[in-house]
Amino acid sequence: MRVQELFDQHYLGLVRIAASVVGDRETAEDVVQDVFAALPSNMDNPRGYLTTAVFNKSRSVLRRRKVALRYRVVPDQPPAESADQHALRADERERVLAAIRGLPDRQRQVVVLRYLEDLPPAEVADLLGISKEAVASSLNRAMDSLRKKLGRS
Amino acid sequence: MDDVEDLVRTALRDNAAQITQDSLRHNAPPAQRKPATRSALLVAAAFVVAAGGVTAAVTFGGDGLHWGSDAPAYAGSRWNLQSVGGTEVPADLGAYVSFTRGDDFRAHDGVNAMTGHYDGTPTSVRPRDISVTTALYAGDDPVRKAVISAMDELRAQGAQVSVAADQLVVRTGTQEMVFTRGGPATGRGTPVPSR
Repeated sequence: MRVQELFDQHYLGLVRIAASVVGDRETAEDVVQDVFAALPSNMDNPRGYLTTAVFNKSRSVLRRRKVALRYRVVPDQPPAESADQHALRADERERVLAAIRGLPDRQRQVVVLRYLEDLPPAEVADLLGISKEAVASSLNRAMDSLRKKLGRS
Repeated sequence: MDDVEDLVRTALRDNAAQITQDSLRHNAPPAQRKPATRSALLVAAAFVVAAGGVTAAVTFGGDGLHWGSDAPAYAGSRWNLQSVGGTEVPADLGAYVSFTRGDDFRAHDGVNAMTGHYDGTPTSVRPRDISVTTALYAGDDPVRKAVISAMDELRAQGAQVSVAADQLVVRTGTQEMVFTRGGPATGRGTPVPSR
């Protein structure tokens, strides 16, 4: 498969994944461009390689600016308007995304792949090269942590 | 599904939906980086150390490196890959190596082409200054993967070689490839006659 084909198939999705971690589209594109610039010539699982590489580079970005992006506790937020669950207010959305960014790496990866990409646990396991049990465990811990951070426990 | 799962899913998707194909800055992959590897640096260092010995066997002309009368037996020919690690390689894979009697090196691993130069002795060869095309192989054919791996080793680390009649055996660190002579070498320049 040629690089251009991989790019056409996965670039937008990878940018969206990176953006969910790093927080902005421009940086997300830089992350994905960096990954494509250093592709190995032989990959057994191109999608898995690309996804993992994007997560790893996004994590590096987060580390470089960890102070700015560290999760900030926002106390006593009112619940989002239940009338329109799919149009979260921008501040509510940013609060949830910040909480996701504050998760440990593995938990963050599993949450993004499960809820953004809508992948079943078996496929998440395959992409990340871990067991289905590890996916389930990471997801449970992540959701427990998010419930506490978002005041929903 | 509880409300936090719904909240997480909605936040992630709302955020993603703001990034559309039209909003992206790039519509093509960037140029591939080929970072210098440790093995490449070691090869370079070894070449510097060995340079004195090599100059006894070669002369430098205006258009590159030319072999003297003791040019390696593999120089001047294109060699088609027959087997890797004892496993037959289908001819339609098109894998080969080619060494001009100058210093041009050409190769194809069935997926990517390599072009550049090589330094050689009658028993060893070290490709250098190699450019590699960037097609990716995503299949799971073990023979094709073995060929790619062996040719990568040859490119990065060089190999021990031996020639018997029309057969060339190339031994990299972990792989053995057997080639048969397939014709004159292909390269930038015409073969330089021995002196």
